[in-house]
Amino acid sequence: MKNKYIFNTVFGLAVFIFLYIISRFNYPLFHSITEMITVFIAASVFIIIWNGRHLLDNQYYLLISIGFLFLAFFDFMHMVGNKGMGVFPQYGNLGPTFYIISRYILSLSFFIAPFFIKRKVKTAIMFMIYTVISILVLLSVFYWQNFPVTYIEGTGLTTFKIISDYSIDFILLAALGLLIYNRHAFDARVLKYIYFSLILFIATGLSFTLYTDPFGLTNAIGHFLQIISFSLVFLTFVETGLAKPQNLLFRNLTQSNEEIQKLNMKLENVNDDLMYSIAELEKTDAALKISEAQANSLIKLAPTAIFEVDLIKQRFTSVNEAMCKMSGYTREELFDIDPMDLLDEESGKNLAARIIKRFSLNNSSDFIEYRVKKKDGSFIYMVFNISFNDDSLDKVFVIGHDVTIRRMYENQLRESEERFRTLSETSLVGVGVSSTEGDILYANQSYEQILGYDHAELIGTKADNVYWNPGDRNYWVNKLFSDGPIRDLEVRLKRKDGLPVWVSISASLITYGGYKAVMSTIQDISARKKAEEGLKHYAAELEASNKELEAFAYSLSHDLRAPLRALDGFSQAILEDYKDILDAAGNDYLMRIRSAAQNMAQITEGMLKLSEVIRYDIHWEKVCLSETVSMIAQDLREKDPEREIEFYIAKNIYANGDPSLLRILLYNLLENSWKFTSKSRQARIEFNSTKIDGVEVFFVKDNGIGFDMQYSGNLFQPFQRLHPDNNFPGHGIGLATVLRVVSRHGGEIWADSEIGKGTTFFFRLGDYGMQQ
Amino acid sequence: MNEKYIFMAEDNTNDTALMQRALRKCQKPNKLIVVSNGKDALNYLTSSAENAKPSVIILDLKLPLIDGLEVLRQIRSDESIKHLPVIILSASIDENDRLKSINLGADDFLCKPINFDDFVKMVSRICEQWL
Repeated sequence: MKNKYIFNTVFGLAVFIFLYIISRFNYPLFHSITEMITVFIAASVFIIIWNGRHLLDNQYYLLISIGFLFLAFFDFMHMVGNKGMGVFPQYGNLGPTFYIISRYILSLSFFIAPFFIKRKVKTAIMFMIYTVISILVLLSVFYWQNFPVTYIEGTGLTTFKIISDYSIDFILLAALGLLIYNRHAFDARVLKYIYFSLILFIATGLSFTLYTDPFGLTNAIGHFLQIISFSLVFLTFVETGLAKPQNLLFRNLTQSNEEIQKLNMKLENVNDDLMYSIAELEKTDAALKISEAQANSLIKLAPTAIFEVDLIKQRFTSVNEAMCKMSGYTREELFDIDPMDLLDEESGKNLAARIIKRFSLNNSSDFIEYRVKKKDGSFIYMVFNISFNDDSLDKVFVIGHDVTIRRMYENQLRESEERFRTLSETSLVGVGVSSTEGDILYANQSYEQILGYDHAELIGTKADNVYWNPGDRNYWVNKLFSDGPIRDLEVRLKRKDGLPVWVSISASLITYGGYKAVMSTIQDISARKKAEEGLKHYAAELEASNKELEAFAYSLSHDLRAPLRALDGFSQAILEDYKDILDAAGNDYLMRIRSAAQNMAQITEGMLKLSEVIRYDIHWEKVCLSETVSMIAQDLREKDPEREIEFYIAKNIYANGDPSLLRILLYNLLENSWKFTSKSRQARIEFNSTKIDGVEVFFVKDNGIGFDMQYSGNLFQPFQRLHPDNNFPGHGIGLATVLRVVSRHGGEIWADSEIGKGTTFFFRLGDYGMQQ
Repeated sequence: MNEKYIFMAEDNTNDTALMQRALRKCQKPNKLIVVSNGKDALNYLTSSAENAKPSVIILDLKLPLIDGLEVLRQIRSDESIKHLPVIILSASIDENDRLKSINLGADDFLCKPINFDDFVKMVSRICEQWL
């Protein structure tokens, strides 16, 4: 290989040196020889490619070679057309003209060739085109003589010649570009040669453009370049195409092989895909079968009614279990009835309208409730989801939901809402709802009436505005949030006319329109407040008049004592000093006066004690009631030593209270028992304490004559007596005094008695702390 | 005059008469000097000679001109008579009156009994104690 390159180079150089020497001696000879070489190379290219065209699949070479044939012809014409040759003396210098023509053929051939890389060239047409163009050119030059002038004697090259040269160079550049674009269709080495030859063609053109003397140096260089470039084409096409056809062939073969491999791979991929698709299809088929079975059982078991209706025949074509259950019919019965008969009249009309409309509209569903008559005559409410069969418009597929319960709840809710609204609107209690921010959202008529506003005037205003003290609302709303619902809070509100109104407010938190809100009820308590004030006034008056009455009773009792004392004292004086003067009757009368005076004295004494108990200031201390009772018992025994009576006094019984008043209390009770056991055989009086509901209760129990409990209501009233005076002397003031003592201690007293068996007086005292 | 006697300030003549009768019954007649108001009582007590002072003073509470408690207070603040025993004999059974009297220096507080027999017993005890 290396030797060959050296040989080629040496040979080439020898040729160029030889030609150069000739050019120095005889330029026309040099020109003729170079042009002859060019013609020879161009013709050779054609001959070789033409004969080997069946080996080529790239038509680029064939097209170029055809071009070269015609190029060879016109280049020959150029050689002989030169003025010096004297072939066409009457046409002037035709050398440059044919040169331009040959150059156009060259460049255009290279330009169009890339478009035929993959296209089959119809050789006959190609030849025809080239031939026709050649004939037209020759006619233009020789016959019509209208071919543009290229060279003017004495002036040199014309503008046409120069523009043509540049144009040809541009065409060659474009050809080069196209070749680069299509480079993948060529063997790398071939491509290199063609690139290089194309560049040399451009360089040749440029060198010819620059010359002024047709026999000058640039012209000679141009011819050398021409030979080199044509030689390169020859090398490319001949040596590469034919001397090394295997390169071209092998390239094609390799390419084909690669393509086959690619195709094979593709085929394998397609095959795999196909196998996979088949497997998938089988799976899908199996799945489809399963899902069909599932769908069937779903339809069968679904809790919703699913059925198909033939609208023309007006019959069910299929129904599921749920539909039978909902309608109360068996499947067979359903198949025998017109589906429309299941609906009540209005529902039937609605559904018919619906279906008719659906024919003109798209296939979707609606949620109107239809009233469906069951077999037993009762009704249920259903919502139908109707879809039309795409294949046959006369069949509809329906899914029906039983919404009776939902409807029932909705009705209940609506009714309850209505009830609430009516209740609220007609209620005399004001009902209002306000947001947590304090805006009034709702107020019923009473609410507005209480506050003196017109209908709906309050809604949207600030709740604070209706409060006498604007901070009051905040106070209870905070309380509502922290402690829960508010009950009967007394608040002063401000009416529209600016007057205050007392209300009792109750409030809870509710959800109103999705938000937390405060619902309050207000009750006008102005009247109550007024009554309460009146009551307070009356109570004060009553207390004052009570005090007056007590003072009166006291002073009356007190002042009566002196005359009574005189009455008793002086009547006794008469009895003693004037006994002999009076007869028995007179003595008796005086005795009666004394007795009456004594009696009255006792009454006044009782009354004094009673009023004393009321006036007395309590001094609380811990008192041992057991000791007090013992002392009283002793006192009673001393007063009436003849009585045989058994005292049972529980030890260590203590109480908080006033010692003097408690003594009066116990004295009266014991004295009572003492008195009413006077007729008992084995009189017994007990003092003890017990617990009732966790509270200590003291009692004095006797086995005296007792009393009828039906008269016990008057027991503690002053001057009320349950026994006749002659049996048991007394004035009915003792128990009234006892009640006063207990009341003043914040306690309670009650009795339990049975005639002939005895009486028990129970009493408890209030808590000392409560009295403070 | 070194004789023991009771000095009594009482405006109610009935009570005075009963007092005298009761003293008679107790075998102590003519042992009573009576004035009918508080002013006379104080005058008598302060003006009488040292050896003519009463053995015991019995004061009613509701005396004309100067009431019994005020008389008592003045007796107890007068050096010449403050040592004399004073018994408040009242129609009142009011505990407050009793406490006030004792606090002002009364030697005893007695209620006038309505029953004449009781009255006699009371006078008898006074006589025993002070005469």
